[in-house]
This record gives sequence, C-alpha cells and structure tokens, in this order.
Amino acid sequence: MKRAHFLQKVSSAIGNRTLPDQNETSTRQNNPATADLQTLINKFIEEANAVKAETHLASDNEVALQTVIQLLNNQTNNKYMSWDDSCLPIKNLEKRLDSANYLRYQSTVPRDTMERTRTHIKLAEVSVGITGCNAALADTGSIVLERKPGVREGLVLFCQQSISPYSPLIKSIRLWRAT
Amino acid sequence: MLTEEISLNQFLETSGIDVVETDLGEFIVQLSGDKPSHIIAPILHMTREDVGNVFKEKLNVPFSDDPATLNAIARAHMREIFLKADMGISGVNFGVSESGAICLVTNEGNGRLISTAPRIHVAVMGMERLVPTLADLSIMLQLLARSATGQKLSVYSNILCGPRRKNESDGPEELHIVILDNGRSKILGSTLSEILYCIRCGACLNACPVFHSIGGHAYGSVYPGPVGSVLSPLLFGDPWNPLPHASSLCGACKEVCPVDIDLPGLLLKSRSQQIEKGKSPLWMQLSQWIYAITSCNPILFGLALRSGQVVSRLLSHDGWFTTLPGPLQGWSTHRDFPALAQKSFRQLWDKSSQG
Repeated sequence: MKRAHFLQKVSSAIGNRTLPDQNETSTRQNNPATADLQTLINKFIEEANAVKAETHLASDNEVALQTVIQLLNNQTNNKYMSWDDSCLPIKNLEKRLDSANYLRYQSTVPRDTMERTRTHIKLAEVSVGITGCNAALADTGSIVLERKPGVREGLVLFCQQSISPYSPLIKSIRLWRAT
Repeated sequence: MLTEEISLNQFLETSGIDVVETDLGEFIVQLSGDKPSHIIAPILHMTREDVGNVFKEKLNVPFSDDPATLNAIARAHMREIFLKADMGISGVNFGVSESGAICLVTNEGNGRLISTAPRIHVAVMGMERLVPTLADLSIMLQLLARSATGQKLSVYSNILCGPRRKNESDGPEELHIVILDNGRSKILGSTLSEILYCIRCGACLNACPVFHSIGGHAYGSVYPGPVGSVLSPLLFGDPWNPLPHASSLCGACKEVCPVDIDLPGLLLKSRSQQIEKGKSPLWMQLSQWIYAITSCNPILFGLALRSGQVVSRLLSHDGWFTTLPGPLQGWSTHRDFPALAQKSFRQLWDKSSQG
C-alpha cells in the first residue's frame, strides 16, 4: 500500500480529512503569533489539569521565582536539580534558591561507568526537578522537553516543575513539528 | 512485546544476565512467573489482591492491596535497579525514517529512564514500525494513545535521536537500534501484509467477544486477540494455525481499529490459505465434517444434543467443565468451559407453546 493510500485510510478512520502535508507551510497558521494566545493558554491549563498536572500563571519574573520557592517549600527536603540558569525562562533562579538555603545538585552525569552510577544514586535523593520547556501543546496539556547542552531529561522525579514562557505555546502535536 | 516475541529475556537469563522488566505490569508478570494476557495491560487477568500477594511473596513486603502503596513498592524496588543497570533494553513504538529517530511511548516514565540512566541503550524495533516523517509520527502518537488507553496523548512520548552528544548533561553513551525482521518481510509480500500496519494499541482485543470470553492466555501466543490470530501463524508457524479459526467474524475489531485493518477479512484469508495448503488439522476437518452432517439432519442433531446434555450432567460441576478432553483441552487450560444447557431452546419453546 502506498503512503498516500495509508494516510487516506487513517484520515477516514479518524473522521478527519485534513491530515498535515509535510511540505505545506500553512500548518503554521495556528502558531501563537496569529492564534488567540489566551484561548491557547486556557485550553492548555484545562488539559494539563485534566491529567493531574498543576498549573500556575506567573505575571513576571518575581512572581515566577516566588511560585517556585513556594512549591519547593512544600517538599520534605531542600534538594533540587534543574536545567542551567541560561536555559530557563526566569532569571536568577539559582542565586535566589541558594540564598533561601536550597541545595542545587549538579546534574551532569559523568561518562565514567562507576562515577555515572554513583551520580545517579546521589541524584535519587532529589525529589524536585526544575526545567523549562521547549514547547507546550494546548490540545493535550503536554510539554516538550528537548535534550541539549545545559538541560537534562533523564530522571523521572516525584515532582517536576516546568516553567514555560508563553512564546512556545502551540495548538497541537501536529503543529509542533512545523515550528 | 517484541523482546517477548524473540524470547530475549529467557535467552539473556540463560546467559547469566540479570534481566528486570521495567513496565509495572510486565514486572509483576515476571515476578509471578506468569505471562502477559493483553498487549497494553499485561496483568489484566490479575486482581490487586493477586498483585499484593506476589509482592509479599517475592519482594518480602507487608501485604497491601492498595494500588498507590503497590505502586510505591514497585517504584522503590525498580528505581534502585534503574540507577545501577549498565544496559537498558527497550522496544520501539515508531521509528522515523527522515531523521533516524526512534519513539518510545509509555505512561510510567520507564522509557525515559531506560533510555537515559543506563550507559548503553539497546532498542529493538520491528521493521514495520517505521513512519516516513515526523508529521506522520504526530498522527500515529495520537492514534496510539486514543485507541490504547483513551488518552489524548500518552504521558511520556520520547523521541530519541542518537546517544549523548558532546556537552549534553545526560543520556546513554551508546545507542544500538536492532531492526527486527523475524518473518515480517515475508508477510510484506503476501496477501496478509495489511497486518503490518498494526500499531499494537490493543483496541481489537478490547472489542473482541472471543477475547472477552477466553482471555489472553488461551491464545498461547505473545500476541493475543484478533491481531494475534492473524499475526501468530505468520510469525511463529504451524502450531498457531488454529488461531484464525477462533473468531466469530463479528467485525468489532475492524470497527475499532485506528488504522482500519480489515481483521475479519485477514482472518478469512488466513483460514482459506490454511485449507488450500492442507494445513488444517485432521481432527478439525473430521469434526467439521461430522458437524456439517449432524446439523443438516434434525434427528441426528436432536440425538447429539441429548447425548451432550447427558455428558454435561455427568461430567460438569455446577454447570462448568474444568477440563476438556483431547484436542479441546486448550480451551479449558486457563478458563472453565460452560456445560450444555439441560434444556435446549427448542425444548423450552415447545414447552412454552404447550403451556
């Protein structure tokens, strides 16, 4: 069966005949630049809450910092790990958390096998991870994290706080690949 | 499923390697020495009390049947193994041809851990799992989540493009992708090639009345349900030939299939190919022949019915057979078989007409 025929079957099965064409640029039309951003935010929050994620709207850098500190206060220990400050959308996070006596664990994993295991075991003491996100998908309340220098995506923690600026908010996973 | 298809765990264990399943359901199956009964929900056949007993016996923890407690026990046990393991082995839900990326879809985060914490990541991918572009993947991710678990998107969709690069904080030092044929290229050229579109969502199992009645174990294959009935004889050969016959051809599987595989049609094709090749077992041919003669003759049919009722009365317990003889044994290995009703519909009809 040809790809076009297969896509036609899939399209028919899901009752949607407007599957994206990889060469078509019009799929970008729903990006935040042209779509109603507030609608996307509301949809994202609704969907994220539906899958038991907690969302917090922060109007500026200071409110975002206070929100993170508040969330850390709810944890049983003072250890956290995070993406590098330069990769986070809020400024001075590490400095503020240092001054509030929160201990940032170095999260770069050594390449040596034994050291790697030791680091992983040490990192398991941490229950909070702070990340940014590369994109947020409003249709599903999902966030997209990309592995690159300065960020890590490995460990699944008890609590993950993702800080997202409005800019990468995208309607759906179909449109994410177009950004 | 793919590592089970090639019995990888058993092979590694016989080579002296400790293998621990990381999907919670598969982990419980491994602990209890059982087998998965569903593609998506491997312990569909177990109760939470069963899981509590397995944990108590195998992990030496106090009995609990509270799902949150059981999850926490499994999490604590598995986390230690994740952090110390030197190699993580995973399947692949989809591979993307345009970028060489692989995609792992999980709801528990085990895919994310297994592909980043161990030093080496080995991903075993069925060759039919390739999609051409990331755009195609985005469609498939939605189809899979919706049909498998009723989610809009699975909790973790990991797209992996190679091992850890210079200056990256984590990730495996080595990534090996094993692309498995195991008979798939032969299927590709056959009239049953449509079965290769299957994305292993398990929706056909959930809709199948036969699966509902006999459970996943009765199929005896890694792949149960309608999709397994087509796939198993193609992948594993003649011992699985009876499976395509285990269907009422009601078409519920086709209705729910997200990629619109004509499963009833494939089952029929599979049956007819077996007959053409003379692969139908002799006992099956004989029993079909006897049934054809009996069901066409009202006197013979009535006699057979009464004989069946007598046998049922003598050998069943509380209306159920716990074991069946001879070639029918397989049907009662995992489930009891209902005894014949003591009064047939015709007898009840005659009685009500008289009364």
